Amino acid sequence: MFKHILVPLDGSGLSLKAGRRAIDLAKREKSRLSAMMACPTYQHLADKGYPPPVLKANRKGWENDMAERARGILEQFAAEAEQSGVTCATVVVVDDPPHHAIVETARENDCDLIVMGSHGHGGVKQFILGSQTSGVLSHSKIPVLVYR
Amino acid sequence: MFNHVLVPVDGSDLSMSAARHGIELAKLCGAKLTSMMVSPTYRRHFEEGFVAPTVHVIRERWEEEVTGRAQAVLDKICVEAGRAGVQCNSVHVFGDAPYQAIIDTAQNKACDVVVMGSHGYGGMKQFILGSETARVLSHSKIPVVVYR
Repeated sequence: MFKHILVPLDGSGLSLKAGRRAIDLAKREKSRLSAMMACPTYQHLADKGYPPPVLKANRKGWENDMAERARGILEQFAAEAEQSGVTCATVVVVDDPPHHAIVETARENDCDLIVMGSHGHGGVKQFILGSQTSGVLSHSKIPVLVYR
Repeated sequence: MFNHVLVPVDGSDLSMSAARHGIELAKLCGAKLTSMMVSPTYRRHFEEGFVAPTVHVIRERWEEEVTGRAQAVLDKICVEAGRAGVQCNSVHVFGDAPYQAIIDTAQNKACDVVVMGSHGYGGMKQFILGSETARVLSHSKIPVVVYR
């Protein structure tokens, strides 16, 4: 039914839970997985006032750190998938906004399902659909399985 | 992975195609299926001017007609499910908050996944998530697969 499942992670507990369910599903469907992390660009965070000014000098370094951390999380997840006998590729994208990167990655890799949590780090726990999940749901052409 | 799939439909093409995917998923998981449809109450219909005041339709008769039409749609799904070897029940309720009826039914029937379209009859084709789908996503405690 599904041949290639995309799992966007942000490192939050809910995203990893959704990811583990995706592994179960992939195992059952004999489909392969791509785990991805969409990192915001430095500029985006700077606009929102996140990085302390002292970091501004080191944009490249900051983005590298971010990608490094993302790779760590993705590799750990991919190892979990491989343990269940599911092939899992990893993709790190530094782009804004994350939901756009997710939809684009799904398109580029011919994924046929996206599995994600209802909100990431940023979401209010209940009743609210995260902005990135909502963005993916609005723009994705393929089905989206939303866990909460 | 899933034991009981709920497919809420409104009769629109997208909802029916989502229902077909729901059947596939149920088949894959060896789950049973419940198809459901929520019709607006007579009162709501009347207030919105859909029922001409001069028409002497008694409420019961009107409800009978609506139920009959809904049942025909739901039966179609159950026939398809039967063909796929999936056990299928159907539920038809009157209510003015479809998302609430969907969530209540999911809870009452102990469903563990909802499969639905990104919008029903009411939605704009692209980029927009239907109001009921958005509300189900916001309030549901169980995962939701959204097709478009």
